[in-house]
Amino acid sequence: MLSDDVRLLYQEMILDHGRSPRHFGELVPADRVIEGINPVCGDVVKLYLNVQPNQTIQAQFTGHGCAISMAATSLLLELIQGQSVEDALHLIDQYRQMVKGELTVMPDVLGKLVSLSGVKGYPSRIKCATLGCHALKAVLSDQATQQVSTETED
Amino acid sequence: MLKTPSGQLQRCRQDFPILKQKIHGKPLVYLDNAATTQRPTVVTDAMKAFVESDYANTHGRIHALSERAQTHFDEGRETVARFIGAEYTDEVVFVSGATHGLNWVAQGFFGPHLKSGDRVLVTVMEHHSNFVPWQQLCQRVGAECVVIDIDDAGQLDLEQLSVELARNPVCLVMAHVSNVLGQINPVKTCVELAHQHGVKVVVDGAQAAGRIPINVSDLGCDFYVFSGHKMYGPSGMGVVYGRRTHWSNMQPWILGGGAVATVSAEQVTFLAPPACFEAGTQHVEGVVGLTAAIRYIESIGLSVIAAHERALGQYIWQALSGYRGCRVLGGMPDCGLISFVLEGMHPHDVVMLLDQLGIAIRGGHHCAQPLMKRFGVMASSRVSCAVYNTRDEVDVFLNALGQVQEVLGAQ
Repeated sequence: MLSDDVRLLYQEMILDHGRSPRHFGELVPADRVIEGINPVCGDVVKLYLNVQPNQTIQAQFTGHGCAISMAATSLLLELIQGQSVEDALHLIDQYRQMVKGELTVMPDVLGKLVSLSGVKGYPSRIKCATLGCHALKAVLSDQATQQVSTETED
Repeated sequence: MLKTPSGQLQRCRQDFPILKQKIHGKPLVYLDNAATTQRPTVVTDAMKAFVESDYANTHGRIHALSERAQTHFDEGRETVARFIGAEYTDEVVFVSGATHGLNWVAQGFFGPHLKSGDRVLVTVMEHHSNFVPWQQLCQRVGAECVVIDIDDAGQLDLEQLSVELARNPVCLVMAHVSNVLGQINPVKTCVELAHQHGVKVVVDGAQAAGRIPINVSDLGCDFYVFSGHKMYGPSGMGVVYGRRTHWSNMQPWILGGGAVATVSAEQVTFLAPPACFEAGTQHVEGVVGLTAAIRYIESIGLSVIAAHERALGQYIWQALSGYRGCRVLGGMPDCGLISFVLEGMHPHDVVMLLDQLGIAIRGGHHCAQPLMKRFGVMASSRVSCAVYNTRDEVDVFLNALGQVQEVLGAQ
């Protein structure tokens, strides 16, 4: 039988966002577009962003991949809508620590993303869970970046 | 009905110590053999014995150990040549694997002569290792890489192939067995068609070697390439078979020690093939391991192995074809290799959950993205059998799919 841990990883929140990702579809026009790829499995997440004059974010995505990569990107984009670039970068940092198992207390900023905390028990899936945030961090840090690979992740 | 494997097949499982372990507390069910096969003790032992008692550099036979190492190396070449039905031993060149070998043929044999306007035929089912080298070679010189299609059952479009062959291409490159569909392609028929037009044929045998009997003389192909690690041998070891008549049209191109007869400041003379194509210190323990793997395969019998795997493959294919929410890619396989997609479930999630149950299969694009696109999927799951797999293991895998669907929420 499959363990409770792995069933928790595939809880309804993740399956729902994996199947029906939010903020899905091209954003036209978009100031910044970046493609995140996981060359190991072929998953692709393409982010479309507008950073408003007051530094708040509007974001959409397209792509294909496993339930974890789709749900993680969907939940992430849900959280950062209207957030400042600075807050989004902080969120990404907290989230990356969470999936690597480096957090003991879950800060409130993570919101529904805590449903992905189970990933820490499955090292092979960390890159699935961070594909979207890896691309988001890259394009927020340098708007000229057009493609990033999980194999160049720090 | 699936026949009970012979006593010999049941016993052969004992030859693979790695299979006796548990993964996540469950007995390991290893069904990722198209990626790499496990190694029997005789292969590991042969390599260890060579390294511990006979190891030295081969070149020159200048001392006792060198003599022994060279003898192992030469025996390996003879064993490989016999195993694939080559007419001459010197038609066998050792490389590091099938990927290396296919690049080697593309760049070393065809590369120097390919020119703008030439055409190369590849099939849509090729592994990236037999696709990208040709695509990139063509792009570099302005040649055209023409893709031969298949039908929904995975069969090559021989009509399109005939039309394209009549347009005077330089070569046809094709897999003997697709690494996604598990079907045996009609290589002999394709070679006969191609040769009528003077077109050379390069065969990727990575998924055929160790699965089905191979006879390159009977197939009539110009080049045949395969790896050691998918046929119970070591990784880092591969073979290029090339017809002897082609060697005279091929300049040595990876240059260095071991490939040359004399060198002066101005010029070089090369050794005779195949030595001129094997510059540098060779992977002799790899050759020893490959030789031991061939002997192991022959001790069981390739036709026995092929029949066993075909029976398992067809059993899986039938079960999956009737499985709710499951799409199988291609038609009935000739080997124990099947790719499938569970509706609404990504292969990566499927593979991870199966791993939690001790079952190892592959999920992803299988380095065959043009073929995935042909079937309109981004990725699939692949189950692949070897000589040591049993009907019971296959049933464990089939039963586990129900649990996977339950967790991932069958819609």
